[in-house]
Amino acid sequence: MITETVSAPSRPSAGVARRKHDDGSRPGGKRPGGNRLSREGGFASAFTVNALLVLGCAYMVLPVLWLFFAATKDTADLYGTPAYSLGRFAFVENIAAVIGQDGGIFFRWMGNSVLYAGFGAVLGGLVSVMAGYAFDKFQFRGKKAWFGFVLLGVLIPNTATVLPMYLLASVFGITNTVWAILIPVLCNPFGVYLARVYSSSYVPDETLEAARVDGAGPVRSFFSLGLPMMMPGFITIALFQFVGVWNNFMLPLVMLQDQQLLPVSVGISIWQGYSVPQPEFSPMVITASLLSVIPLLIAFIMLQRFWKSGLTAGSVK
Amino acid sequence: MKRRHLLLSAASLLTSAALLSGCGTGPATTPSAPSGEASGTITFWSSLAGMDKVAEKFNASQDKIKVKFETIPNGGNGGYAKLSTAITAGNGPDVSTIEYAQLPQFVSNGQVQPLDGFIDKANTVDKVSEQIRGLVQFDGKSHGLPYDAAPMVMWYRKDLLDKAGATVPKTWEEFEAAGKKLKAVSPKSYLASFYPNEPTLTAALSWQAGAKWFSTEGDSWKLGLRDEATRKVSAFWQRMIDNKIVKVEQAFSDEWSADLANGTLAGVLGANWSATGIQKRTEASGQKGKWIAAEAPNWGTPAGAFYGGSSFNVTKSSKNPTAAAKFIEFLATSPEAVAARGNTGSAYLAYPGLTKEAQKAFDAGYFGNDIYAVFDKAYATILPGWQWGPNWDVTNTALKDSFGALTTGGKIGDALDSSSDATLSGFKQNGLSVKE
Amino acid sequence: MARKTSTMSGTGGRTAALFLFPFFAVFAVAMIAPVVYSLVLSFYAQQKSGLGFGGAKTSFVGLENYVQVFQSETFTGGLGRLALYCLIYIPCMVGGAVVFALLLDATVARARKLFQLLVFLPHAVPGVIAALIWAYLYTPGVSPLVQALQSGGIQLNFLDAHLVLPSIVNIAVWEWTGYNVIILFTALQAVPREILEAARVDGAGEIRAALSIKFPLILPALSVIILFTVIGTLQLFTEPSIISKATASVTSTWVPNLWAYDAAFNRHNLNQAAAASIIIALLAAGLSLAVTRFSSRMNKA
Repeated sequence: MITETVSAPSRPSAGVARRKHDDGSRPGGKRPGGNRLSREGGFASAFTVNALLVLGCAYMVLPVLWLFFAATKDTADLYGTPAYSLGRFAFVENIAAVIGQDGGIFFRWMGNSVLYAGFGAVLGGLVSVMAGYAFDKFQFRGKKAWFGFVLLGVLIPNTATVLPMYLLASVFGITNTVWAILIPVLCNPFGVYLARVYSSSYVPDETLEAARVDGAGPVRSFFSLGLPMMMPGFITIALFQFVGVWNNFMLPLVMLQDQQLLPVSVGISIWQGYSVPQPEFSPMVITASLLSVIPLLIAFIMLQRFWKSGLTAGSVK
Repeated sequence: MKRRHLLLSAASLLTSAALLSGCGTGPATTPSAPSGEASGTITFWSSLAGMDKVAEKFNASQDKIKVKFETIPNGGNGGYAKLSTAITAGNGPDVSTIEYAQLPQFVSNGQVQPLDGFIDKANTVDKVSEQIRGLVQFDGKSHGLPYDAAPMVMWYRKDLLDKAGATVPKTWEEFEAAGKKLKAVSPKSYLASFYPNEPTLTAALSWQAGAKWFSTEGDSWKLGLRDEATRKVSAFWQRMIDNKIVKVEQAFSDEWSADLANGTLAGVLGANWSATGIQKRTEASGQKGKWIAAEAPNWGTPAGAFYGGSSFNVTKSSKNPTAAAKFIEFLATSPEAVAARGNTGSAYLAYPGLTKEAQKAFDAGYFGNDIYAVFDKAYATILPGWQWGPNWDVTNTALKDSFGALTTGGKIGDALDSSSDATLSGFKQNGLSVKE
Repeated sequence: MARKTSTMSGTGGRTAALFLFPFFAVFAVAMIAPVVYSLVLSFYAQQKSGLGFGGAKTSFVGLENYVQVFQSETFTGGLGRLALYCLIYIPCMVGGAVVFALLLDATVARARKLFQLLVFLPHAVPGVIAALIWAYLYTPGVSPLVQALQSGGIQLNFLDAHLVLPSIVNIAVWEWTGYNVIILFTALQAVPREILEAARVDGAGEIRAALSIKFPLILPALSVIILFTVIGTLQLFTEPSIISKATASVTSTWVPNLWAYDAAFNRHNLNQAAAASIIIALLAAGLSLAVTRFSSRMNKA
């Protein structure tokens, strides 16, 4: 039927063709390949639509696929053999090199990433959810103004505050410590916004009212009723925060100098720097990239529905 | 209501803290008074190869001072930014490795301690040549012990020159002639490369021509990035690039490595330390014995310049400068340190007598002539009087950035112009008096 | 004190304070305080004297740092470059996302779930890794792309001064299109099927339906996407950082964030870096407000 198989060597140029296609495209949709669609959706149109989808997905997937192949090569093969081939399967050697470098610092970096991202996800998530819940369920003076602050936080780009944070942190002497990362990652204004949306859709006011009638205090109600009911929302917020912190590059780059404290993204970029004068680092950079991406890929495939829910909740104003 | 109050008072508290603490350069660490006994644990950062072995040797040879070594990226990859940030934050190393071009900047920012009082001056600093001493002494004090003396040296593929019927150039005129001969027999080849990412080499070329990019007149600086000698150099190299005798490519890049390996490049403008890099990149393609070292071409009278070279220093972060100074003396003046480093390259060292030791450790059999004899000759002709300014990074970055346009129509002269402007405003922004 | 009579006790100001305190405390420390401190820093400068080897004095200089930042050709050049970046990036990425979402939504599309998963895949790759992968994919000698083009006779250097900007745009397009496809596709799926049926009965082809019915209905989602994309563009730092190690065409001050980083860590001018950060933050806030106002006006139309 419709071919969905991706024949590797010709795809890259097809990917280029698609990119050229997109240059200067106007929002509003382009003709998906000249065709006259009949009401029944003839073979031609179905083929075109799906072919284009396949092309688009090929563009998305092939670079990641390249990573898999490249990680199996050593320095000579990297520059010598064609990209989507296996060369002299040096995968194990590469992994050994990555693990062994600098006494296993790669694992330290992964551990740091998990620590920073996990801390931000769980604790930061809780902080955001509590605030969002309060904005949804409680009445108080100036609620609109306070929420305005939250929105302001959403609108100011992350990186604009990194250097100011560094400058302030150096006054207190906490640069190059874990706190330089752990404190900022707790701050997630977008999470507060999302939490408010989730709170209103997942936690009915009547349930809380009933609990109050039964004598439960607001904190009790939150932890025993509100939060459990919002759990899917909490997981989504935590997931987004986890990924956001894991991906954060500028903050750890600026705050941390001690190699032992770096998250994996910054660590790999340092190896990339070494690979310019010492090309032996290139296979390690590639293999380390692959190893650091795999956990995220797995998590993301398993937790798809939370991603989707978060994205859509965020766009429903 | 209460919270708003809290936020406002927190903000004003922080503001006053900021004003009181000055400009937030971190809690200042005052160096401890020199103690009689040099002992303790000190940290040592370097990007030079083999330093881990030197630290091990030092630790093994005595038990009062323990050195903890950490490798850091080299300058081009953020090594100096990392060092400077760490020192400012108060957790820098005791001993650092800083190249001569960057040293004045670190001194000017108060990040390196003067060594007088901690070192045996007569037996260390005073023994190196005056030119080199000038590179580490500021304000009348020594701020580092010089390690290498890196004369600019030219490397050629002798076989390719022979094939083209060219002799090893002694002057830049002969260099141009040799380049034309080379193009005649193999149009795709180049006699050398111009590196957009190595402004220090452009500085060395200007130095060799008699330029003085930075000089002092009393209490004021004088800039010379647009002086006659520099203009002569820039015009020459622009002509070389335009006539395709010289290729614009980044030093140490994959492109450069590939060009060396496949014989597109017949020459490398570098220094004594270029030997290992050339060997690593060309031995797999059977070029053993084909590369020779030669004195860099000159403008009529033999003249040379330094291209690179590092010093060892005690940073402001050090709480144990006595022990740090002892280690630096070992690093920079003892033959055991050189021997311990092993075969990491063709080092040419500042302290008298050490170069012989370095020569022993290095296997120069790959090359077609006696490269150390060439280094000696190059070293003997270094033009005196060159100084580095107190903010080389501004010039370095500006040059690197403008050289980035060389492959798409930019010109060296324009790059020097805009960098001179950037350097001038950098000086003024720091409140220094400067003229051109 | 116009307190609404709350039907529930324990839902008023004091309890709210309890729940809101952790967030706003962190917010104050991580966002407000740094910005205030930077603002203060930006009004001072370090002045050296003589040859510069003595100490430096801190003095109040008013708006001098801001003047210097705006006078810096590299900073204003970086801003211009960001504008150019947006001009290329937003149509490409948004256009691509819209087309892809419409294609997914087409009745004849198959394997929707698989396509959704695949198109979203790049988003699971951290920005640093994405930039690294593409840096290799742009390097001659390693890249299958360059090889394929060369065999077709086209010599393209994706990393030279002319192409490096579109090349970096491409990385961002690769990273973000899928993300926005999912948003738009979900919005599209929410379009009531009856309307589409009615249009089909009236004889509208698939494309007509897409253009005149689906597209207007997803405009709200689209405006949110554009808003966040614009904000995101001002954040540009990671990709140029990584690519700058592979080519001389990306200078150390290529975008404003890099300029501020260079000022702080290479030139040790923390005051100027603070001024630059404030300028970037103000620009971001201003731009966001402008985009929000523009899109709400468009939505009302």
